[in-house]
Amino acid sequence: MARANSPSSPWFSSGFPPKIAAAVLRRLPSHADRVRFAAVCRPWRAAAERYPLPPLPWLALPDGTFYSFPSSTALRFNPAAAAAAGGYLGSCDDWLLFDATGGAGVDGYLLANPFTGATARLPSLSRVRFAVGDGSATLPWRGIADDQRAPRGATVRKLFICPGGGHRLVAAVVGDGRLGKIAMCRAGAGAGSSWVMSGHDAWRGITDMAFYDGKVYAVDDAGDLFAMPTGVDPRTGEPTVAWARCVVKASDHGAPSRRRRRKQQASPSMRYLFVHGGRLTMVHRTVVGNGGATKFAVFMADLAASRWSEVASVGGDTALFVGRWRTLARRVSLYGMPGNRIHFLDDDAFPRGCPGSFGSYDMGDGKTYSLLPSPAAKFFNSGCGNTPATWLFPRDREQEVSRWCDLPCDVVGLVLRHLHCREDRLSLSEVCRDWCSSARQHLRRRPRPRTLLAAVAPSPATAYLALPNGRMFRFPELTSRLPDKKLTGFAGVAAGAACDDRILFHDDGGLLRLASPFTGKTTLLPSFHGIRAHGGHVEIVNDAAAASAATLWRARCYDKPTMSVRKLVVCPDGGGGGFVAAAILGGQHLAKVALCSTETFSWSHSAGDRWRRYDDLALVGGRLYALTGGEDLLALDVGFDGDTGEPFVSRVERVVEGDRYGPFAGTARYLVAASGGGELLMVRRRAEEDGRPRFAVLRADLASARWEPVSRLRCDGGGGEALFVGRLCSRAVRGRRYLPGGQIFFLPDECPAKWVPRRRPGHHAAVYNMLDGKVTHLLPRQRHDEEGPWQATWLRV
Amino acid sequence: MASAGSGDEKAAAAAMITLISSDNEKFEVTEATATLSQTIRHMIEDGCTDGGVPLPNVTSKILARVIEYCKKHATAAAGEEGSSSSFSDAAFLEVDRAFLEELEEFDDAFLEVDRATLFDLILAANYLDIKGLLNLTCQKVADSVKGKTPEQIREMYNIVNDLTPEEEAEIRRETQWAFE
Repeated sequence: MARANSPSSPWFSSGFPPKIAAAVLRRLPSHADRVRFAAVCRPWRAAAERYPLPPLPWLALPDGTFYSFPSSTALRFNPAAAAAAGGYLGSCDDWLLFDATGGAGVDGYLLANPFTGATARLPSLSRVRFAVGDGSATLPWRGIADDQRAPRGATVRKLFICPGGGHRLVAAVVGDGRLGKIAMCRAGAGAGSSWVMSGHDAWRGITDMAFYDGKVYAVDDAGDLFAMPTGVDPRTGEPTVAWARCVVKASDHGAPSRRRRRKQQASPSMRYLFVHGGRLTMVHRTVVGNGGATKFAVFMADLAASRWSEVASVGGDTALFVGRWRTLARRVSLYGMPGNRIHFLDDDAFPRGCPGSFGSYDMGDGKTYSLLPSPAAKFFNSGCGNTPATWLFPRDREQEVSRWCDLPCDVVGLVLRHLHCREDRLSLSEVCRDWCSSARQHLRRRPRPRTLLAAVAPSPATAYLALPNGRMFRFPELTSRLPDKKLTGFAGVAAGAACDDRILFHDDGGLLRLASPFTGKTTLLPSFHGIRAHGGHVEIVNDAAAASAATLWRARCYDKPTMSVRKLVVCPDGGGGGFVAAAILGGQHLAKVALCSTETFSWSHSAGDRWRRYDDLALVGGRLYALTGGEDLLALDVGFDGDTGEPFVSRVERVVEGDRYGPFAGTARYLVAASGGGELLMVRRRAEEDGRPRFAVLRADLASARWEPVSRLRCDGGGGEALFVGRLCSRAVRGRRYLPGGQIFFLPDECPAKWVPRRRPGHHAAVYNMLDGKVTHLLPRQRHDEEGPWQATWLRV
Repeated sequence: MASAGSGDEKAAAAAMITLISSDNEKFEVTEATATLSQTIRHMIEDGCTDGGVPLPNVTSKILARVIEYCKKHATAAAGEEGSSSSFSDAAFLEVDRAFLEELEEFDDAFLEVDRATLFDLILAANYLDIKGLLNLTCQKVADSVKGKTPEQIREMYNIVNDLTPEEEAEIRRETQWAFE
């Protein structure tokens, strides 16, 4: 009739404003009403799908009536189930559990879903396989009765279906209400199936259990928490059980006998276990005094610290639905219902029929309110049957489905970028259609498969090689990357230094400009022309003192053509240490360490320090280290002038004494910080008679002040280390699949052997294998190679 | 009301921004806090924040959490600016490290939320364009799916598998190269 006379009714048209539907839905907290609402017509259904809310539970009473909480109208919607419902034992999500024993040749348990009508069989407790050891060996016991320690009249006390996997594993607490044990089985596995229990494990006072993080967790009456990993035997498909290990020991734990006596005397209590907000949560329910009020305390499990931490509130928007068979948290603020509540049902751990056996407990004021403000409450008082009422939780699958599937494409891409393992990324893109297309879109934006890996997972292993003609190459893939316009513009006036991902240029204004060709970021540094000698005292430990340094410096300083930046180190955090850059500044042989701060915007060197032949400089762990031509390792401390704030080298300590004297022709040394952090490596490169390079890697042993040879490059993560060495920029990276460790990448242009006729090497870069000493040339010399004033260098990203 | 207004009042109004959640709750925040969101920063630059910034996609509960995050991180950003201008104190480094550790702890505690809230936070961070928060929340999702099979991920996020076995096989074949 409605169809006939109201085709144009705004309620049924597709123009029905979804917002109004949402407003209506928010006023329909009961699951039954929402389901009916969504069944009216297509636009309403679409609205219900668009504004999903977690469904509130149903309340099943032993007389076979159901209430869709908080509605007070009784329903009997599945006659068959309702007829049998009076005899249910308990529930599990949206299933009711029945004892199916007694029929002709039928025993065991039956799970029936009153919502869908589905059923599943569970084996009887007379069929239990007691597993020992790793689960493959079995005791000759056939049923629960064979276990002498088992309590009499043991039944299934609690049940849930483990989420995940296609096995439909069922975990149960089997016991008499005082002592219990975890049993596993497969739902609907057929007549031959059986429960599996651990033969060794003790019978404990288990009160509740929950599935969390792939394990079954159980809590006992003292508050101790036990964890048992679950799994499936790959050969038989049967569930496996393991020894349940105590993971949280409650503080009020006494001797078992004392505990049992105490339990008999003390007021009844019950501990419920469930997962709330991604954490294992325990609700402790007690009755205060004789027939007095019910009190609750809520604890979160801190598995890392192995303890329970009590929480004062469950959240103003959340209510807990507590029951012996199932406990769950729901966000009820969406329905305008009061939060921070615990809705609880009667439990056979407590005396039945007393007024406080069910209700709605307010965590804020500690008072108990009536559970249903309705005539339905009388059913509780009628004390029907031996079975307590139970919650039924309809599936909320559809509810969150649309939400997580609707994750914006960019967000999926971002998550993908946070996943570094190939398998993980593949898994993510296989979850559902939307995520798949998001992942594909994200991947398509990357131009080439090879660079894609680095682009998706910004990999620290990648280094760049910058050539004097302004071209850059990515390592180890060797794909050319055109430089930014900025870099091309600067290339002609490069100052011959590089640091991390940046190259030093002479600015037009006479300043120095440290610019990154990757990010375009630029830092201004003062010019070297105005460098000043600082007269502060320099403490020199374990090394020769200064000798007429200041005069020598002045002489050198005016000899500009030979003075240049040999090496530049920039503080990574922009000058947290008080100076922003340190440089080796000098001529071909002798040089000094100069420091620069932005505070004074000037370079300065310490007059009290002497000239040395420096080979390299590195900043490791906030401390400056310099390597000399004699292979001495110096640690330099930086002090600050009290008046001007100028940084200067205040202390020089020779921490490793080299055993060589004087510079060796045809030898170059690089100082590299190991990728693990902390350790300093010296890479010594020598040219052999035939011009081939030979490398040695030595580790600075600060304890014995010696260099220790390193035969193979290793690091903590395994896989070894790869070193990139260059006069301007060196670094160590952890080896990985596409960049095996034990390799030294170097620049053949540097360090030509003096006695070999100088000829430009045919390659820009080469790699030396530490294991067999073989050299592989990597990048053929570029043909239109306009040699700039600066040399090829590694850049790190 | 004097149309000219007093200069002081205007300055005070400029420093505070009112954010209005989808359920019409109003939140007063400082400009420094609000501009952690690029979306709001652009609105401020365009001068269209008078009378409050309505955020129809964000509920008051989520907005409160987002503001909590922004406040904490805005003070962190202010602290960093301070450090770059004053080097002379060596103890500053120590203070800085302690602060960063505190910030990390805050982030960890901040992420102790259920999946529904996490989802809302992601959407809010995406809509408001708060880089740090978006990264943080996405990292959390990434951590939770690490080492999991697609089936386990679906189970975790209650996602229905709407792919046919043929499609799944195709994804594997097609995207294999992308992950080599």
